[in-house]
Amino acid sequence: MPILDLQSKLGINLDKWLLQSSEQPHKRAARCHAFEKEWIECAHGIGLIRAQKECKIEYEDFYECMHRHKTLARLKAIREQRDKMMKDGTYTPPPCHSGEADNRP
Amino acid sequence: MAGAKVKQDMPPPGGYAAFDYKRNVPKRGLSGYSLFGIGIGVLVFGYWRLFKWNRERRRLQIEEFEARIALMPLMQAEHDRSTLRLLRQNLEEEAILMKDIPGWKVGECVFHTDRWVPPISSELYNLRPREELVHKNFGLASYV
Repeated sequence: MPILDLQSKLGINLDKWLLQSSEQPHKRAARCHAFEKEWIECAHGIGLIRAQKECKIEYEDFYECMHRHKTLARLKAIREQRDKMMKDGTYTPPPCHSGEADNRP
Repeated sequence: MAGAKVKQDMPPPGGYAAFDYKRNVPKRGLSGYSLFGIGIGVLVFGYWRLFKWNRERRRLQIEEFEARIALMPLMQAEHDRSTLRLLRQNLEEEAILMKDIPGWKVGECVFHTDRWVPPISSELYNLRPREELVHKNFGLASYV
């Protein structure tokens, strides 16, 4: 597919500088390694427009792993609901959530 | 005036006794070469002691690492247990809190995959006092 393929002719490998999934010190995997791997395997070599259409799910999972927007929005909603219910007096947090030191192993 | 004999303060007859006025810089101590030798010798002895102790420290460090490796299954199991316990408590509280919100699925996974995604600290300590999350994130910095 590449016309000139200069990068493999010159022996340049830029991917090892740009990806989290390249080789890391002490072989420690990145937190989102699995998601990045899935996305790259899905999107490689098929071009930008096709990748945007076909790899939407993998891309969204990878984005969520990196930035956790949906997770944090969900947590915020739960917290706000809890504060509202505590102000209304309909909810008291259980002892495990009230800041008592837990001495169980 | 040489005629009148005046009483002057003259040196005693025969002159003064001789005294030494020349510079007295005696040649003493070790030579320069031997001083260099002693300095370099002390240096080399210091280096030898340092390298020996560093090898010993390396052996002690390896022993500490081996102890950590030996304890790893236990630590990992306990950490996993703690994670699951926190997630369980959060799930039960979420079920109680979000009962009346329309369209809320309790324990919904935000990812499209079935894989186990390790939770982040904000998620584990969501309903706890903020101080616990701060301690979880930055408590290691208090070690001096």
